[in-house]
Amino acid sequence: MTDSWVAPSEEAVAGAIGLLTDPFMRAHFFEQLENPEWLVPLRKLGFFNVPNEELEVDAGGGPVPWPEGGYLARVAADRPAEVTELLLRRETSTNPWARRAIVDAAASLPAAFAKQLAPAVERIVRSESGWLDLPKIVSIAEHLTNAGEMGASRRILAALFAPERDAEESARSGVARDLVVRIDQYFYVTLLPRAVPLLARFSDISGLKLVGGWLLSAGPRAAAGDEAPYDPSTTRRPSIAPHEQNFATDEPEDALIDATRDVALRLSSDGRFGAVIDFLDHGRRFLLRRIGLEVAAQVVARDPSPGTVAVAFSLLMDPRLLDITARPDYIRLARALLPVLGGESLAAWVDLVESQEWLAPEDALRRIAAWPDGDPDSVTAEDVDRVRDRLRLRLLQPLSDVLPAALAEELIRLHARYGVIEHPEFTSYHQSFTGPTSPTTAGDLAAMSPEELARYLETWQPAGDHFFGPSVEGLARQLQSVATEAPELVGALAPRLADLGRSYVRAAFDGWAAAIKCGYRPDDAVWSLVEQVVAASDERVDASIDFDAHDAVWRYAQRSALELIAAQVRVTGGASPELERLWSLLQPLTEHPNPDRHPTAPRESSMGPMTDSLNEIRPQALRVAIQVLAASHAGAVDLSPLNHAILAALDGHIGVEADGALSVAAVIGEGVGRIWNVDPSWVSDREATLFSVLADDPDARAWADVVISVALRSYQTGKAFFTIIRPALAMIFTPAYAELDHVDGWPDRHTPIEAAAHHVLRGYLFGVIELEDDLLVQLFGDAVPVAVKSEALGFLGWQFMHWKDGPDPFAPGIIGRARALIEWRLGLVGRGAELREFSKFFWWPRSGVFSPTWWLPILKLVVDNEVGEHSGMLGEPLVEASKVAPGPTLEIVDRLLMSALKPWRLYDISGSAPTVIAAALRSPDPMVVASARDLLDRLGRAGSLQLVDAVESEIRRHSTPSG
Amino acid sequence: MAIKWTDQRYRLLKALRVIHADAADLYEQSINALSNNPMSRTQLCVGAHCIRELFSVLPGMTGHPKPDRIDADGAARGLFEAWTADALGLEAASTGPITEVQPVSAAVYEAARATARVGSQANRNARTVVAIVVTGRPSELDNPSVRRVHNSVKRLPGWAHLEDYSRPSAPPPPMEEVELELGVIERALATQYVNRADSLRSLRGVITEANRRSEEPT
Repeated sequence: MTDSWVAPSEEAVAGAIGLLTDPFMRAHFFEQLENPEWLVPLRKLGFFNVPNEELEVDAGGGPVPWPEGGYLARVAADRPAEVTELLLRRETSTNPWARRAIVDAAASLPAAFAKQLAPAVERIVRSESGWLDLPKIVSIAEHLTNAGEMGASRRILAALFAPERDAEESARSGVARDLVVRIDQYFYVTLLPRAVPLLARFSDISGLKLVGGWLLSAGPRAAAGDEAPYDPSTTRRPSIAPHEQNFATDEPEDALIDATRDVALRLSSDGRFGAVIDFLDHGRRFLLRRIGLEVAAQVVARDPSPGTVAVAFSLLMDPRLLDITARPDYIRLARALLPVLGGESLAAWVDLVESQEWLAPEDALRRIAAWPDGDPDSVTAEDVDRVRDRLRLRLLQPLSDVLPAALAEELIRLHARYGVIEHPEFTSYHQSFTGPTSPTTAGDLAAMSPEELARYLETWQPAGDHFFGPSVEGLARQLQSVATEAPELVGALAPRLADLGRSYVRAAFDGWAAAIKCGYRPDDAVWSLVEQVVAASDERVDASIDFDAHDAVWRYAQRSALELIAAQVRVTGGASPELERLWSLLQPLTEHPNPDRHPTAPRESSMGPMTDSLNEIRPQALRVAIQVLAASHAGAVDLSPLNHAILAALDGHIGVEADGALSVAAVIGEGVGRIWNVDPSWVSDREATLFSVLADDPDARAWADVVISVALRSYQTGKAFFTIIRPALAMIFTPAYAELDHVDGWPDRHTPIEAAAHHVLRGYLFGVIELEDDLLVQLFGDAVPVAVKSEALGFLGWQFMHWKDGPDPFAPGIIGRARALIEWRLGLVGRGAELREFSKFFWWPRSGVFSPTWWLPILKLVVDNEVGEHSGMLGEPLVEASKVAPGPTLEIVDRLLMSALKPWRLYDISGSAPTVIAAALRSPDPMVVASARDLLDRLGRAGSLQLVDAVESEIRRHSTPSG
Repeated sequence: MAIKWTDQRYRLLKALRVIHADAADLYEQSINALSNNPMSRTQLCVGAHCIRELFSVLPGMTGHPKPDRIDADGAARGLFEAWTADALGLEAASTGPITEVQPVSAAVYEAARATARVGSQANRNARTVVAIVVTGRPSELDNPSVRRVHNSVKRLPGWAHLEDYSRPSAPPPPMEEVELELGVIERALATQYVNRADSLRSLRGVITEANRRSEEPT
């Protein structure tokens, strides 16, 4: 048995017609119809007759959809004559639906009919982009070629792959470097290989001429018409054969070189080697001649017959092809050919190599000898001879195993005199660099005695080959590992480490800091080294990075010393003499000159003062000082002398007058809570400076801005933090603050005022403040932009979503307080509050914490007033809500769908809408059902037929018994 | 075979009732008349006339202006006057159909062209009315589906009169033909006035049937 299409009856056609008066229904019908038997009756009714001009522009200014075209393409194979005739009427149409139909139909029509559409396909390729199914268009060319329709295939391939001139580029650069391909480069490179077998089937070698022409048209015009050995096009691709040095810097040109080479190889395999080389070698274009070398190399390797060898030998003997820019290709030919040459030919080649003919002229050799900064006139004859020798060495070395005896002896002589050249056939050779390398491994260093290690560090010197060889930095990184794994070994070197070099000191400090976490406790010698390094002057200007040298200044080792002290502080508890020693060690660095104390604007390249503080010495020292302060006060009531000393030291850095560095301000902001824990009055006494975010002086304001903005990001919301920060919060929510410029000390995705708002809302949520609190009133007052309010309310919903998934249950009453906050704001809408405060309310439904019956009316208000920014966020909560409240949920979905019947917005809820509507259709409430049906009707009339279909599917899914 | 009340017809009736009680009544009377089995010629007259009238009143009921009425009588009168002024005979030749070119005066030619233009405009207006009724958009008059619905509507005058002076008397149409043309009209009306989800379901059925394949012996 076999399937066959059923011809429609007159009744069946008549039954369909009445449904096709609507354009969306008609589109749906033609998108789904497969039966070719419907073509004739529909054609008789005039369905394919709409004039081209009526398809060009619709009422909205865009092209008119033509779904009939899709049907024609689908039935093209079954009704080729009718479809071809109908689509030829669209040959000049620019309507994308018509054009797509032509391409799709041409891909499935028999070749005799596809050929008729080839001019249209060509026109489409030349004028379209974007939607074109390029692999399909190559398939059309394949199909036509297989059927012998070479002319039609050729015009499609040319439309796809022939490069075009880029007049703009020519005008810009003055040189017509103009490989501009019409199609996307990715497709150009991936599809051109599919054209190779097609081009090879064109008559004689016309396919090679075609692709070779494309390649030449892609080349720089500066060298046009001349056989230029230094034609730039030959240097971008070092080797015609695949090679790791071919970096595909110009991918389309690379693809064209490959295609030309591969078409030539196919034609050569078909017995047209002579004609191929004749074309490639006598076109006076150097790039094609290089391709000829590679083709000849491969053909001789496969078939070293006398005829083949004779053709290839003519290339080998051409002194112009011995040019260095073609050397990789020439070497490949020579390696294939030399072993099969007869004695006479071999002798002729030896004569060529020994002659001066292929070498550059004397004056060029003189210039080479004088390079880079010598004077060619002062070059001696011996210098020129050396250049000549090295050029011969470059030629002979890669041929060492195939050289005739005389030249092999010369190679030995040249090697003895000049050594081995790396990659001699390439004018340049690129290698990757992965980082500083060490002359030895951490394991080898760890196996040494302290004496051996000290001697090795003292005596080892880098070779000075910049970036490629072992370096001081590479060795320092290994030493760091040793200091971590075997800290005592490196510790034994502490008394003399400073003399071995700054980088090794830095490495040792870093390694020991890591070792402390694993139980290591530095001895006195180590702390003495710290003391010595901390005291070292750091006045020198930093030099640029040089892995071969030690750090130019001490500050890097000093920063590592601070890391070591900080690590020790973390393992030293309570008030102890150890902390006093650590403080005395780091104290000098709290006055370090890095960074400048004068107030400066944050650098443009800076990541922010907080990040800067991690890399600068004085801020880092103050940070560690605060750590010592906190550690030394743990559990104590009264302030100790050490506490007093550290607080006094900190006092010298409070405010822009004392220390204007914003990175210092960042450290104070980060530590303000810890300082308060030790001495609240110290903080409150300095409020006027610390929190002066409304100061007229921009420097003083910036300093305080940084303190506050870092503090807001560093501490969790709580009573203590509110006590400290409240004066600053009160200033942030004022009109004066809004009018002034501010600096963010630690930029992240929330601005400082948003971070402040988050604290206030969380403060309310956690019971630190109540709804009547001035801070809340201020936050929602006129001085604060509504965007900040809506972001803060939305962020609270977002936090609920994350808290829900956290390990701790919600504190009692927190849900009620959250709802009360929203209801408070909602109750004031129109009386001081704006509905726009709820633009990010979608996070509350999305959190999954609150009952739909609570949030649905609020969300409806937001949606009805079109103030929501809930893009893509409401699907899941609405589906969940539809299970308990299908009617209200439907109302929201209705509103969202009908206000967003623009395709680019429908994705928001189109996935969940069918579930919600289906739930409404299943509701026992007839009013809800009627509303759902009404929505379906409007969706259908607006063209959302897939959505209507999806609802049907959802209903069927629910009515099908599971299991 | 007879026309029956079906779910689809009840849905259309309900939808028309939302538009205007008279529209629903016209449709109901039409189906009631046509659903008699056997159906008499006069019942066909009633049924066809009600549908014609439905097409006549629906544009106004849905808020669309009807195209201006074409004065076909005036054009015919002008042609008659030009014709008789040239003393051309009105009776058909007794010798059978005329096969030779007949020279006429410029006045007769112009009057004949005006009459033809009126005929064309009348046809266009009729299609515009159909387009308004079944799509809500007068611009859809060249839509192939609208043309096909218009063809069905054009059959109605012939069925609505027992005798029509304008054409030779014809036997009543077969029931299948009436059902076919009524179906075209009803589906177009349903597409426009019934819930689109129901129409889409109908279309899905049409597509499924259209794409059906039969098994044949190889």
